[in-house]
Amino acid sequence: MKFNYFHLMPWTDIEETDQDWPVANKRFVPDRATALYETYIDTMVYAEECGFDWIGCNEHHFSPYGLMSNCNLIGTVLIQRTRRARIAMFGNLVPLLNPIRVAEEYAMLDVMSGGRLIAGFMRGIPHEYVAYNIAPSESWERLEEASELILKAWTEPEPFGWEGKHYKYRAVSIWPRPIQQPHPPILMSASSPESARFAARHRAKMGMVMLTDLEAAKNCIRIYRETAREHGWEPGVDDILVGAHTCVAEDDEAARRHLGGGLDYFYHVLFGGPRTAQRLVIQKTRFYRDEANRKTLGARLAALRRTTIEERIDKGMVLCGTPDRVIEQVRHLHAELGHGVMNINMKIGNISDAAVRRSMKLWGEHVAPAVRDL
Amino acid sequence: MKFSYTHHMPYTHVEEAGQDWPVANKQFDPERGAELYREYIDNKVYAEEVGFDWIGCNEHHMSPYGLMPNPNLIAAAVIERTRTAGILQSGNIVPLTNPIRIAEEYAMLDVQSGGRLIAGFMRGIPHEYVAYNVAPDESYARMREACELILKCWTEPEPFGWEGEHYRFRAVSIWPRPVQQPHPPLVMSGTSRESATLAAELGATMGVLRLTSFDGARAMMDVYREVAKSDGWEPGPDHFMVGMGCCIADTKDEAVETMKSGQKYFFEVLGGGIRTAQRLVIQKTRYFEHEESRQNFPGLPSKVKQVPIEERIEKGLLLCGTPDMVIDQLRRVKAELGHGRMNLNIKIGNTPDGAVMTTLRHLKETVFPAVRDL
Repeated sequence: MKFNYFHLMPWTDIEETDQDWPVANKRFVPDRATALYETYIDTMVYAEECGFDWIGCNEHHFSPYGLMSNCNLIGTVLIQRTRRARIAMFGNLVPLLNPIRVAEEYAMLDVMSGGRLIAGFMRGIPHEYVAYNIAPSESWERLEEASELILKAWTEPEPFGWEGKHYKYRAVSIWPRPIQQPHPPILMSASSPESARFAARHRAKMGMVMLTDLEAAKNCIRIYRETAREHGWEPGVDDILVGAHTCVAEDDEAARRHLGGGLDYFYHVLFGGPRTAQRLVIQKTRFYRDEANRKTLGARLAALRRTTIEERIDKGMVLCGTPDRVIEQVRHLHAELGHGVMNINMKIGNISDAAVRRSMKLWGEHVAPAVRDL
Repeated sequence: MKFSYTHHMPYTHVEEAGQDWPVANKQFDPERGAELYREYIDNKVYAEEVGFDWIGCNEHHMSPYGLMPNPNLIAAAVIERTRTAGILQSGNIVPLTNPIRIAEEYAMLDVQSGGRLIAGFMRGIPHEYVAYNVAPDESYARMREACELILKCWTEPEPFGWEGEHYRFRAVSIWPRPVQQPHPPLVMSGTSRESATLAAELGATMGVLRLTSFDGARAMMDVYREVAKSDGWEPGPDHFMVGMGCCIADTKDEAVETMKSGQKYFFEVLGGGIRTAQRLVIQKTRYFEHEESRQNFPGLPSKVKQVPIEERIEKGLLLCGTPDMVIDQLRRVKAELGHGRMNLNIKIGNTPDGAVMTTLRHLKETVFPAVRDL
């Protein structure tokens, strides 16, 4: 089993739980943020030392939820300070961006890192479409066309033109082009049956960054495998990534306290703005292809907010406790899902960076060695 | 006099001269590209130790001319490894990119560096518009509107909407926002009457990024001063930055030979694709607002000819020779233009990195101490 160290880079100093969206950035204190970036980058670099195989970044806009509006900038910083770990981009939000630019930036990261990029082609969440003023109803079409265009930009040695529905270019030949052949591995989100099918069709790794329901996850993995087979390929275990909020500590009580506090801030404060946005934007939206999906997401988010830490642990949705407990929890998840990559998110909400470091150290010394061979 | 180190990260292993445009990237060897990125970033980081005040990156697409399609990725890497130098972004090409994205990325760089960003708002050159399929005739209108929008993103603490001619957003409040107040200092190009006017209106440092004649530069600086005067302020020397090629060696002959060979690659190989592009694109274009600007454009096919190095040194348009000669040349250009900033381009074409280091060593040991007080 491989491990990805995933970090959202949240802003941790907000008191109120109910923000508007976008969240007014008068609450953002730039001087403090310089130190915050430094801490977060140091933490992500430390992940390599703790035995993580990948280090993951992601893209969010207009809110304290995450401070990586272009995660590729953080990617190049990590490349400077790591040697072995893969750099996994859980952004870029492809339908929101110029696909040529995404192809170029990913190629830069791949070349600069000597071929360590895992390229996320993400669709994002509905309110990011409001931030960048792109019609949510076009998200699937754009993702489809942009993915094809990016792959073409990476693999076509001669200049080519592109006359698509959403994207048009007279002549394209990007400099640099990627080092990994035929192209860097692709990662797509697969938290719904629809996205699981999409990922399989595109021969991408599938990612469920934040597990919310084991049965739903199993279903997505089954659909992914079936669709892949229909399209003539067999996913390896490394193609399936499943994630959980994680806190490892010397005793169960401390782990619960840290994670409980962090989750509280995560669901109530950091989700405050996005929740408002969901209300504003997806009361009626065509981001989803069917109404059922929209309702599922809304219900899932509401349920998550109400769930206690104990329930989360019992349901296998978080990894929390002493190293031995967490080893058991990882084994359990693996037995249920058969995935090959674990996505570990330890900086949950405003959980202290000292607790995060401690958690990483215990993970590296005790948990990882015990579950690596799963 | 203050100094900025510009390095456009050319790809130095293309064999044939006179390419098509875009230049086919089959000529790009990613393994060599990886080495170049390593060397070039080390070199930019070293510029701080040499005594440069700013370290510069810039944006180019689809050719070996420069390997920074998004220069902000390189800046993030340089910030991580430097402590005091200003980070001069003499791309981003503003009309080609979502202005919100530029505001966000520049804010990330400013926060990450603790306030060291100098934000370039560039209009780019005509064929970059073909690369990204943006109408060249909209370049000024987009430029003006985007600059206004980016400044608003940086300075408005509450969410705001934007209903412009080229850009529309329902609600904006970027996270992070910049450290420097009221916003990071700006640099803009001043190679035409229109651009010098806009630079003065925004109080940006005006870059004469490639000096082609003293009279031409003086004329643009006069335009800038007049606009500033009518806006009620007086520019200081630091508002003007003049860009020149620079090569220093123990003997004059050695410096001239090195520069000649670098220039040959620059002109014949790196300039090859670009010249093709100019021929294709600006035979008839509405990129320029006035015929005068088109006629003065240095990339115009009829204007592009190789002026011998000796002649350009004679005219004071290149810094080339022994350390003492270059000190005299710097005094001369200062006496002619009265500017406070120099932007030095040392990695010209395929100038060997050893020769670049020799120039940097002479600057550090002899030239900078002698001209600091100019």
